[in-house]
Amino acid sequence: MPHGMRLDAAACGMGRPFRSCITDGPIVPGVRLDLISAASVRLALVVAGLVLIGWTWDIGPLKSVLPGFVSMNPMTAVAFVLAALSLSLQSSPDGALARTSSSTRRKAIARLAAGTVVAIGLLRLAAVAMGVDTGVDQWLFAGRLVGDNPLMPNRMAPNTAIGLVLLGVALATLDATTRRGRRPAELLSTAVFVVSLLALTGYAYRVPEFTGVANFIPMALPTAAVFASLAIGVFVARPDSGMMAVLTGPSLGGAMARRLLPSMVLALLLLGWLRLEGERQGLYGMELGVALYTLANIAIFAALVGWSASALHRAEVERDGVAAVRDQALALNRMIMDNSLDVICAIDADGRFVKVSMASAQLWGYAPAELVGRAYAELVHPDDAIKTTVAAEVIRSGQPTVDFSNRYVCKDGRVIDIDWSSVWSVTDGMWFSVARDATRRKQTERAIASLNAELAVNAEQLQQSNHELEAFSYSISHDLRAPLRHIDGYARMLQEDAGDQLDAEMRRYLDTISDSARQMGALIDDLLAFSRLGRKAVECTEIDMQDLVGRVVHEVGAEERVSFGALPPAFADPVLLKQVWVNLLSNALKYSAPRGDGARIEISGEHGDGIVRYRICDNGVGFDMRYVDKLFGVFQRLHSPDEFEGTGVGLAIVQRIVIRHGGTISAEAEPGRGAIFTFELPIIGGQDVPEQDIPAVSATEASA
Amino acid sequence: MNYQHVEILLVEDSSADAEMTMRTLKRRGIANNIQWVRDGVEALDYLFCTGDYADRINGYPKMVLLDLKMPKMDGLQVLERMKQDPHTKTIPVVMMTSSREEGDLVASYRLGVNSFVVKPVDFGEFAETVAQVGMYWMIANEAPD
Repeated sequence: MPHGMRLDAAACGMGRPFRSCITDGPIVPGVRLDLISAASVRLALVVAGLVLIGWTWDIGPLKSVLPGFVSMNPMTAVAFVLAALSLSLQSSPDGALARTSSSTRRKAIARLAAGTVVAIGLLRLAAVAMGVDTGVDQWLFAGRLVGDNPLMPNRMAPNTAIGLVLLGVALATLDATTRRGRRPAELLSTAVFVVSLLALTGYAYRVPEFTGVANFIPMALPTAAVFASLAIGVFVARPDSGMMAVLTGPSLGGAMARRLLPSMVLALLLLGWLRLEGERQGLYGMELGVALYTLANIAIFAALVGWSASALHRAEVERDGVAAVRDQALALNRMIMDNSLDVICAIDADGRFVKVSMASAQLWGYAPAELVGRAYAELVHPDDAIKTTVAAEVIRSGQPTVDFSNRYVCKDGRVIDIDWSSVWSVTDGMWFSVARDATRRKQTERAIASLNAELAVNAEQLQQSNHELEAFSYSISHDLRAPLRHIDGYARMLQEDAGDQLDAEMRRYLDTISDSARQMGALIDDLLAFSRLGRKAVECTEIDMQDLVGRVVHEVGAEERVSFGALPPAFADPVLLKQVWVNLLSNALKYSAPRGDGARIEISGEHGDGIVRYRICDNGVGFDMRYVDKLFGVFQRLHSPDEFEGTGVGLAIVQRIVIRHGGTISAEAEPGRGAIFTFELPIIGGQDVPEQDIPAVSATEASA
Repeated sequence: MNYQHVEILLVEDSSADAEMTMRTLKRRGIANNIQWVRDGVEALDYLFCTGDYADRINGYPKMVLLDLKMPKMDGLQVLERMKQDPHTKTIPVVMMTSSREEGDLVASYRLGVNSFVVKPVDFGEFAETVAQVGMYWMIANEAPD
């Protein structure tokens, strides 16, 4: 299965959408939003804790940060602790408090804490708006509240009470979602943020109207800071839904919001503060201040817009590029799916076709649309059902197969052989498979099998005829030799018993009878030797030819007449090659014998093109080249037995051995000058040439 | 009824071979009393005193010359029976055959043959071979009683 299959599958909608390519755009930083939540919780706890410590031991800076500033009401601090607890409990489960309690219990506690925060806020609001003073903000440290600021006894500011109500409701409805997918918690936390921003701006710009409501005590600075922090913490607590989903999502809108919102808020706050402070310090008048402020605004906004625009442009170009790649992949995929001769398909975990390529119509007779949603098992031949299921599970366990075959039943009822290549995709939970028509391959296999069977029958027949041949040669050797022995025996017995009564002529007759019988015995022996040769297996090894020839020359006792130089080694059967040299040498000796002591035999050898060549020359009687083709025939002789003894089998044996080694032999001669026999053997692997490949040189032909 | 002790039992289906063999053995003075039987069945009858030889009382031969290829029962079967029976087991058996077939040679030795001889076509050689075999087993070799 090619790796490209994953991409194809994804591109044609069978896999996951192309999310990963776009999510990591140029905009989203890898910020852990849960860490922001946790940080806001910690900040709230620390500040509230410090404030409560400040109230306990009457440490001014802990209560109000700066001397002369309003202190955070202790009940506000308690509300913040509760709010932080609630947020923490509803954050990701690895929060410190979350480990001990179960999810529902955690939730209940979180809601209770949030409700308490709301209650505290509402109680204070009731006092402010309706005059029903429960004094909720005076339950703690009642004695110190009055002494904190001689001008204004410490109470909870109305805007703080509003902020607490909003924050409490936001925490209580953290997971609530409207039908349109909006989240009230986001809106409420934004409102809390606005309340805190008002107070913070008031402190920064020294605008008392922003920090407090009417003549009531204003919101303390740490209170505003904790509100801002918790508002952000609540806002980002659920990053996967509502507005947060947009802000953290891959869309260009989200990217833009992430980029512009913080910059805008911070830039405007900073610019306003600079203008105000400059004017207050008397650095410039109001007109210049406004002009500078406006110009700076224009510059900063132009820069922000330009920055965002170029980033958006880059993102869009990139996205287009990805889209183009995806379109290309889709087009390629479609082309493959439409034109592949093999069926390409995706099969889900339940064994149903999810996607099938066009070739299914040709291969199985079902159009892709007919197959999608159907179980592939319906098409498998019943006899192959189990092995197919087993194979599918094996592949599912992570082992891709390339040589699985089964039979499918086509729409028209035909049964065809299919070769499969399949892989299981863990991410997609599917098999991606390629099915190929194996009918032709199976046909070829069957044809080969039947040819093999035929060959086996032929081989058996051949073996049979070999056996018959063996029996035949046995009976020849046994049955023909017995009468010959008797002919010779009785002729001799006659000679022994009645020799003195016979004249020379009659004795010559008896001798001729004996000689003929013996001659025929020799012929039979040689013929048997020749036929045994065909049955002997050729066992090749590396032969030191020089050593072999040396031994043969020694054995036939022809050292004085034979000369030979360096001979290349051969790869052949040593027993058979020795026979070759014995026969060739005997031949040369026999036919050069008339020269007496002047007889000379030379043996040489050389490497040729993929062969080794050996030559044996004698200066004997030679022969007439007109009859050269009869030279290697069985029982063929170019000389009469009266001139030279022999049966005419020796050279036939030589030729048979050489041919069985895959070699060739030839002879040249000139009557009265001598003869040259040359044989060649292949250098690598003296292959055992089957008997039937040897040119037929039969006894019948020879006798003709 | 023949009471004379038989020296050699010749098992040979060819009368010509039998004649040549007996002539040689007698002429060379190796054995005079030779019993000739024509096949394996007759050979076993003779050896175990059954059939036509039920009344035979002249003991066991000193050696057996056994042709390999014979009608009815061949030399290997005779050899096998002889080597299985404790009475005939110790009698030297020389297998005489017309051809040197590796299979026959190996089978004969497996069954415990004492010699394996190929009959030469040349009568001179044949006579010499028969004489040597007879000399060795009848004269040179010491056999248990």
